[in-house]
Amino acid sequence: MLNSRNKVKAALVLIPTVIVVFYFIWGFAVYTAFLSFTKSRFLPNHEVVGFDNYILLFSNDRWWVAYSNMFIFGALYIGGCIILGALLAVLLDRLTKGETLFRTIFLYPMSLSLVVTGLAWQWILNPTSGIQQIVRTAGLEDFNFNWVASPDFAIYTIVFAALWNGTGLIMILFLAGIKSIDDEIWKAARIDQVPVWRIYFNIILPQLRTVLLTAVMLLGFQVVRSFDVVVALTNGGPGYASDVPARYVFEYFFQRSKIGQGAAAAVMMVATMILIVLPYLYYEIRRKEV
Amino acid sequence: MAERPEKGWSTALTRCPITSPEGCRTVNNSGNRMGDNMMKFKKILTATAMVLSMAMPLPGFADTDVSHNWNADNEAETMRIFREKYESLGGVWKDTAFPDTQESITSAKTRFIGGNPPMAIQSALGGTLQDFAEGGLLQNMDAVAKANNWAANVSESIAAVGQYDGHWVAAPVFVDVINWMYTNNEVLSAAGVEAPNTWAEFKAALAKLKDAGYTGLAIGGSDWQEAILFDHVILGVGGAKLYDAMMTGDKSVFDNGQVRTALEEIMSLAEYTDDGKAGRSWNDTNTLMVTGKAGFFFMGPWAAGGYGDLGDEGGNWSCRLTPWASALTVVPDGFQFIAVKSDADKAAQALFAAAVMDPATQIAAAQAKGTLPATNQASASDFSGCPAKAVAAMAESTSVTHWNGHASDVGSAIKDSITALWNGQMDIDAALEKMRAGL
Repeated sequence: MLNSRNKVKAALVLIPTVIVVFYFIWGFAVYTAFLSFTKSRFLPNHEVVGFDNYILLFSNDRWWVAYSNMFIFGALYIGGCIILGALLAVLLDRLTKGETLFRTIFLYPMSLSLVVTGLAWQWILNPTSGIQQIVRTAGLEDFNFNWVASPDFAIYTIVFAALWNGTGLIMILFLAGIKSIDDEIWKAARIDQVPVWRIYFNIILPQLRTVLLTAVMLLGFQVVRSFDVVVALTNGGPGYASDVPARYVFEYFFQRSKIGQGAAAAVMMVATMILIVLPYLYYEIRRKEV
Repeated sequence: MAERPEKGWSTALTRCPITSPEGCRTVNNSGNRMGDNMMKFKKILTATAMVLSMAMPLPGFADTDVSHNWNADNEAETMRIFREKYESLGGVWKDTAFPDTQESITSAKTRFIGGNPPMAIQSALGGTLQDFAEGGLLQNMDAVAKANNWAANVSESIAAVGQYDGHWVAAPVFVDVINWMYTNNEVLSAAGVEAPNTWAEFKAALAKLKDAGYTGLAIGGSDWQEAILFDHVILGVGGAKLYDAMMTGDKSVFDNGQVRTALEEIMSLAEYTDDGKAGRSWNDTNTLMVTGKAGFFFMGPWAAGGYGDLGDEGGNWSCRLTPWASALTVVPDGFQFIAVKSDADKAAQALFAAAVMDPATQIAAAQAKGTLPATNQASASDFSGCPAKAVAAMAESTSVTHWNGHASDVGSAIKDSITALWNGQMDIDAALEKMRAGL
């Protein structure tokens, strides 16, 4: 228990951090929200213009491309990471030898930054020097794999790169979860002669609901703030077919001298993030009450 | 990229755009462009550094200095010439180099708000200058201009670029001519193609190159590269008149069908490009030309530096201003003077302004950089190669301001609609409407 003197000490130690956090995180967030209602262009300008920036934003097809890309990317990335990650975790758990080796192999991509990941995949997917070219020189002259150059498919190449980078982390989360399951459950299942795959999919994995939630949250934030992998892999191209909101905000803030519209887009990103977090908070709070 | 010869990197490191359309991904004239990949990398690094430096202003950063993005060898030489002139007038030199204009602009903005601005920032004049001037960042330099007779040393149109609201706020030092067509003459003769002089001849040449197995038209994957190609198409459809009307927001040109024709023409070129263009940087694209894979490349003056291995201009390779129009699209480059406060800073600023506007210094610096000086006292005999052609053309052709010299909205409107059309995200009607709305 803290006595009151210690409480004062604790408060004194924490206050600077709290002030800094409030000023630099919440202060600037609120200021950005305010800027989205002003006619700021090259410099912040405090003349309020109401919802003009939002009207411009919503009438810009480029924003909708970026915004819908976030959902395409998000669904495939979160879904893909979790399915592949859980599958790999189960397979690793089954291994009698070499688990450490394979764990390292699958986790390794995570040690690379998304910028490096993006650049590497840009080379791999480049139609004139990557996979397409290799298969063609190997004899399949008609082989086509130029997704990175196609406005309809470019966003999926970003999913590839991000999956490659992110699956390892999810695999480790699931693996840790699987290992923490009580051995008694295994013994009981063996006695009942349940097939191994059913033990995993009907007994073990359903118990890992909290791991799943953690994974969804981690990946969800990764999706909303995805920027580096896109910049490195396609830079939003071809055209702006693979643009994402974070890159849009960056471009309008810093490169196009349209701070107001960039701020409006940033507010939309936060709003989206809140929509993702709210159900989780609701679920957590309700669970505690029950 | 596997096709990049070893030399590709050195090309990327040493040849740099003198002016670059918003970009090489950013509004940027004269960036040291190290290839888009390196740039992206650097961008992220500098963005991080910028955030850090905003949080912790370094002590001793208080001297007024010059922000610029002249980092390549030839650009460093350019800067050395200005620096020596400035020092000979009694100035004390200090500078801060950035990877591209965007970074230096952001830094200047931040330092201005922090009360500690650089005395001058090098950038394309035009749109950027308007932004700075409207933000109240610029210094009135009328006294220096009068004392040094600036108005007599540059043409009227160049003088207008250095002024805002009738007052001098910037020193135009270079004029970058953007509309160059580079040709690989070995490729052309191997395919039995004559150098084209009209748009029709050009398209016929592309078809022949394609039949002979070459990539007719080299182009990369950034929106500004696509917009530079569109410049030449506009000039082919309606010449300097149409170009200037579009860039100055004259919407009547959208009614007579010329812009639509231009959009149709640019799409007809798509079949002569290669698969690898997605995301390719301009210098990797230039490598296609240098290694004899492609016949034509439309790029600014910065590309010329890449052809050293092919020998002198006019032999195995050529640079020509858009052959099908008697027009130059230009972007003035120079120094904007930031509103520094103290008398000592103002005095240093005045010295620097006098140094960079000295005609002889400008000519020497332009020779080093391979571009044209802003002063009207240069003659074609001062230059050789591509810049000499530009000086000669300047006397007899119409000069119009390139979109990168206009407000940033103009460039954005062109780039957004062209890149959406070129990459199949929009049809011609939608692109036309987007362009009309944006310009």
